[in-house]
Amino acid sequence: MKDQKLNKARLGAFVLIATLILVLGLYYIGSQKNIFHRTIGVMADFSDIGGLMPGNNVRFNGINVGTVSKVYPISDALIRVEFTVDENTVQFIGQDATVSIGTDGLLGNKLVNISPGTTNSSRIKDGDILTSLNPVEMEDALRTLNMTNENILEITKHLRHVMEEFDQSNSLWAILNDSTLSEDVKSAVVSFKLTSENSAILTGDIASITGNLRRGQGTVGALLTDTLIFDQLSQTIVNIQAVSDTLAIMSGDFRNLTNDIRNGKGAVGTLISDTTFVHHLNQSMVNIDSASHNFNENMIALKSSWPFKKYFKRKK
Amino acid sequence: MNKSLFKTFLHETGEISYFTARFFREGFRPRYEFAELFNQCFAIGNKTLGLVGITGFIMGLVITIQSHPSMQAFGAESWLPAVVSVSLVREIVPVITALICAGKIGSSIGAELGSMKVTEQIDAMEVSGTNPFKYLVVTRVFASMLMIPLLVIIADAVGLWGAYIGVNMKTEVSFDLYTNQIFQKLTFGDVIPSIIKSFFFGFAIGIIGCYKGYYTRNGTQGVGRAANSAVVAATFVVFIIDLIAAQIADIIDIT
Repeated sequence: MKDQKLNKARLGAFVLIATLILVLGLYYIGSQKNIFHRTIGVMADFSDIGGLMPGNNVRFNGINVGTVSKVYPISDALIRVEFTVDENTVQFIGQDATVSIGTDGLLGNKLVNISPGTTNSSRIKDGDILTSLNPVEMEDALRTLNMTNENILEITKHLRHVMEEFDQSNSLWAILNDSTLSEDVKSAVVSFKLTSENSAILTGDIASITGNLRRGQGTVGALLTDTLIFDQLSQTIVNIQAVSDTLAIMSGDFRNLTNDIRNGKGAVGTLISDTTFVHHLNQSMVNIDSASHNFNENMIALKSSWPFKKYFKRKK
Repeated sequence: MNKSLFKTFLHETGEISYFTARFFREGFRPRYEFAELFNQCFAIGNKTLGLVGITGFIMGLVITIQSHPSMQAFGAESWLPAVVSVSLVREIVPVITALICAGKIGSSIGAELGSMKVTEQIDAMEVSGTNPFKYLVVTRVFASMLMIPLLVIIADAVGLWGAYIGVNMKTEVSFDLYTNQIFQKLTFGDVIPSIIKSFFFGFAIGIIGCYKGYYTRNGTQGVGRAANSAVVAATFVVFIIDLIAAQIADIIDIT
């Protein structure tokens, strides 16, 4: 009888443990599928759902928030997908949220991805139809990838050719190995830096000069900006022109005069061109000289003569 | 010869059907033999628990170790817990548990009832006013129907624990991650059909064991034959039920 009781207790323990395991297991499975959370039902329309099935996960920014509940066609081109979303997540999903169909990993199950909308739009509610983005077709993606690969192949071919050319070029290696060259380059850079600094100063000066010019400071500035000076200057030029005109007339007259002189016209012409006149003139000068000599002697004689002797004595 | 074999098969099927009908007729009518039911539950449940537990553990461990190389070849090592858990829960654990029980329980029921039959204890019961069918058959079949699903649940848990150890022998997966991975992958559609299936396994094992024992002929030789054919027939029927269950699950799209 005691044994019987013990056996019953053991049996009870066995049954309880097994039932507990079942209940816990089912609970965990259910909680993973969001069965025990309060959910709302929303939907989205796609042209191609790529094998999405009821029970597939719904993810919001990568976390599971619900499951697909129904998939059915609503027209010849549209498939409606109904899915649940955990009520705790609803506050983060705006009505302008977009829904797309993705894959868990490269070969995994299909799933629905929800991207949150803008924060200022109103929150989704039960029965809403969300905007959908149609899935990227693997085939299209692979086709593009194939083209990219071909391009990369071509590019690497060229690159290889270029590298081989580089490798074969002795002068390039010589340049690369030349240590003095780097020093030269360094000093050139230093010089260049200095030059550029100087040119910077210079351009600064030029800038200040042009600034001064613009403001009319300095002689050139005044020249460039003062309109009065310009008027005066033009007047001066007019005057100079008049002077030069007069000079031209004068030079014409002078030429006529010299022509006359050369031809022996007039007194001066005669003086220059007539040789007999010059001889007469010379003779006249000799005569004048002797006459003046004689006059000088007369004058000395006059000094010692009476009326004038007294005057000269007083003067001494 | 063949004709007589076919005739025997048909006769046997008819007899089992009649026996099953009698079970339902007697089983759901008072008076209920609860004390004997508890005894049988204890004999079937608790006494098989160790065997089933060890088998489940080994199956979990072995399936994981065996699956690892091919999963690794696909680069899907991280899917190992999910894949192993689904195959364990859906198929391997229920069937292995049913086979163990067919061997242990089927043979013991067949031998027990057979020896009672040949020593005319069953006849004595009838004379003394006790309904031997109610007392012997109904209790055993119910006990096996109730206990085998529970054994399957325990074996599932132990098998998944074995798989956890198996996964950690090859890679390193924390217990939290492992449970997340398996419960993420498992669905009600994996667990519930396998539990329902094991009810039928239990029923088949119980009813065949009892039938073979209840109709034992030819003395002590017949007892051995009854025990043997109970195991063979129960094992065979377990696979037939498994096939039918898989077909039904496929048709009503439980995945």
